[in-house]
Amino acid sequence: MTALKKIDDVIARVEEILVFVMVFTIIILNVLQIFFRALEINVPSYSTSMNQILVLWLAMVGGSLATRRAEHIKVDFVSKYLKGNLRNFIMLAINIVAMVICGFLIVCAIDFVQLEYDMMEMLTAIPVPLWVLQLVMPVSLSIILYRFFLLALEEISNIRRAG
Amino acid sequence: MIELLLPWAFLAVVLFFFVVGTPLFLILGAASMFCIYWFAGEPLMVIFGEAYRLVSNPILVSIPLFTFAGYIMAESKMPQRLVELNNALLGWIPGSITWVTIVSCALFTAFTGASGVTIIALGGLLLPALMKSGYTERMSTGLVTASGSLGLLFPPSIPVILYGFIAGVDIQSIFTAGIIPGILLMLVWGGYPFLTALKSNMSRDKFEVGRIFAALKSAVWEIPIPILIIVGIYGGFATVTEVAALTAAYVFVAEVLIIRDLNARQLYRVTIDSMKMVGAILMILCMALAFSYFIVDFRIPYAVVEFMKQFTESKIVFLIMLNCLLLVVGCFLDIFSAIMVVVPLITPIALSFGVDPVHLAIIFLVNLEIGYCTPPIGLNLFISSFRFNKSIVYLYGAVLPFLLLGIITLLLITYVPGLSLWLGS
Repeated sequence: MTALKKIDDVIARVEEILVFVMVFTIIILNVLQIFFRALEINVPSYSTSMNQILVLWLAMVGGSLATRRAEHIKVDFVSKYLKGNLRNFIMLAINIVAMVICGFLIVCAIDFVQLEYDMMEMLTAIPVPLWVLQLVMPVSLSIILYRFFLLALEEISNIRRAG
Repeated sequence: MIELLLPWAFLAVVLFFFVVGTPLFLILGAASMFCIYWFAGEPLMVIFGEAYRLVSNPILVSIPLFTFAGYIMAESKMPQRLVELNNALLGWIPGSITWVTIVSCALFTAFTGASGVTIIALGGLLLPALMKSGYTERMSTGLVTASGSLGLLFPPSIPVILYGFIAGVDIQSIFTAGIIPGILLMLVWGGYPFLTALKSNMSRDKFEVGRIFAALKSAVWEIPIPILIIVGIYGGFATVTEVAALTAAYVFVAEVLIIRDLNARQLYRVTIDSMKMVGAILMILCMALAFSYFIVDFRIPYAVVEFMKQFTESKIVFLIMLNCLLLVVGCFLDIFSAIMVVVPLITPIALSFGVDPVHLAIIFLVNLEIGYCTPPIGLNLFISSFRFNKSIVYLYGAVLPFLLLGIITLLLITYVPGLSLWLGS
């Protein structure tokens, strides 16, 4: 369990640095675009495709980080008022169901990236095939699945402790 | 037989896991996969096709940018400076603390988007000030709880951007339409305690030019922020995305580099926290879009319209039903989930009853604004209960007059479309 959590800590550190860099890249990119336009300086419009990719990455990596402390938006008024092992069992069931749904979503995401790989479209801003950047979808979902697995393990130990 | 029962069994399981607290993006993901596979028989990768189509929309980048700016402002000492500035400017008016509360909460909620943050950040400053002025604890708590969601209609409110994005309505038009209803709700909610103050002899601050200058000096870097947003969006000088980029850059420079309310470590933490929120919203949005792909493809709203029109073709009856439904939705779901789940369903239905799409946006958002403080489980009630250490039943009573006034205002906004549409016409 400790080793599994350490792996999660390392992944989270990398994700956090990525997110921090991406936020400031988006800000700089868009502000520069406004100034170039205002000063009528003719530069190729990279910001649209870069924005698109950065928002996709922020959504997936941010969503993955939100899973870590179970910070996703949910209706939690039932689990909030339950106590003891009933609550622990329900939380365990939620995490197992979440893992199953994530598993299906990962398969769908891989199929989508596979399709993009066959089309071999390139990003206009940087010479990288689009499918490489879209890999963030199955990868982030896999990390989310891993985090639900850790949350499920935590609930199992809660159940054991409560006897 | 199994083919008939399976969808219902699936629905029951999904509803159960939704109610017990499974993350909404997974519930919507599961529902999308089942419906697309079972009813439409299409490949499931459509879900990610829709998700990728979502990020292609240039307006979407404004959500992380405004959220980042809002989180930095909430973490800085801006709430204190905002309350002091409002106090210095309005404190000499009898019952003025009411307007200080209303204006501060509206401004703060517009920037931060999520109303819970407003009660947490401003409640501790405003509640003692209200009670010191002579308001009863019950009225003070009720006012702060209700005001926690004021300002959702004003720029750069994220719920408005999200609504415009989902419903395909021009965002600048919604912001323009929201001016009168937003101010009306502020006047009604502020007017009630204000009139109470006028009847009794409540304490008030002296008008001090020196204090005003000191407050203005202290907030000098924050004063341009609403001006930048209001001029940018209402003036049509810039797109929403451009205003968002400039706001985020300005807030970062002002709060972190010039005023230095946040150090590097705090900036790092706030940036990560804000993007967790963005990730949580956008993941629901991706799955909601896939689900609405199914809803539209299967013409479900039109089936509902056909069903409803068997009983009524009256726009007024429809609007009453809509108000009731949205009040219930508003006290069960947070505003982001409500927009993403309910808007794709009700928009085509409302349009078929002849409701203007911009007016519908205002009705929807005001309903949810009021839903935040609607018993039994409006979100603001729980946040106030936690923040002020009061029982939830006490808050039901405290918020009741504001709730009734809010519902009257909602009815006015719903049945007088001119209130929303006049400025835009």
